[in-house]
Amino acid sequence: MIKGIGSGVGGLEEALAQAAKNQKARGTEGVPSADFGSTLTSAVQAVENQQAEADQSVYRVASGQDADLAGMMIALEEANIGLRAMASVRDKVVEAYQQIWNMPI
Amino acid sequence: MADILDTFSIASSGLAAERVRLQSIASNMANARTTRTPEGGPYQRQVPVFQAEAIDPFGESLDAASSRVQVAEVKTDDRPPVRVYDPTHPDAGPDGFVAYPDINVLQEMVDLMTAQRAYEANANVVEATRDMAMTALGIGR
Repeated sequence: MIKGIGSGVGGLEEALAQAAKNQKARGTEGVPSADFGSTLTSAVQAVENQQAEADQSVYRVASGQDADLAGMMIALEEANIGLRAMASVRDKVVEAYQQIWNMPI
Repeated sequence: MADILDTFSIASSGLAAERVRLQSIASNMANARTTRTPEGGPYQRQVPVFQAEAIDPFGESLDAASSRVQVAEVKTDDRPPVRVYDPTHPDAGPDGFVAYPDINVLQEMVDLMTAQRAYEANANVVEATRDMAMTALGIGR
């Protein structure tokens, strides 16, 4: 279960690395290889998978299929960190957007 | 690469292993005076055996060196039973001796405290990992 979530955040990291690479590619060739939207979508999808995993573990504990309370809390914590990481990235993106928007012309 | 989620999963395996230990201790305490088992004879003390399991044996140096813990097996302690003379006991042998498991409740209590502290230690690792991740997310805010 935890490995699954691990690959979820791994996906987020990968997506961010991809974004950085795209940025570079744009700088050198002027043609983006993948748009920022799809990068963002896959990152959000990874975070959503984490939330689903956490949900599942809460359900399993609540329904008595599993008594792994610590595992549940850890899954929730991982989902929390993933969400906050996503929110931090969003804040940065919005900040950059607003800086450009408020640029005096 | 040292992944925060790997740290979580290592600490989580520690928590799970200590829960198994706790369960063995509970069983040993509850059956300290048990004279009957399905296999016959008195109850035998249960001892969990832990085993290290590399998180990624073929990974880079740190991943190959870091290990989760897993319960390899729960062995039965083959100490001979304690023989107590009590001819009135239903399970007394023809010589009047009853075989009780050789379980020292004090030793089990100490094991219980050890398991409890080890659980706390692993929970603290989870918390420290979480705090470090949150600190990292706070950079530049």
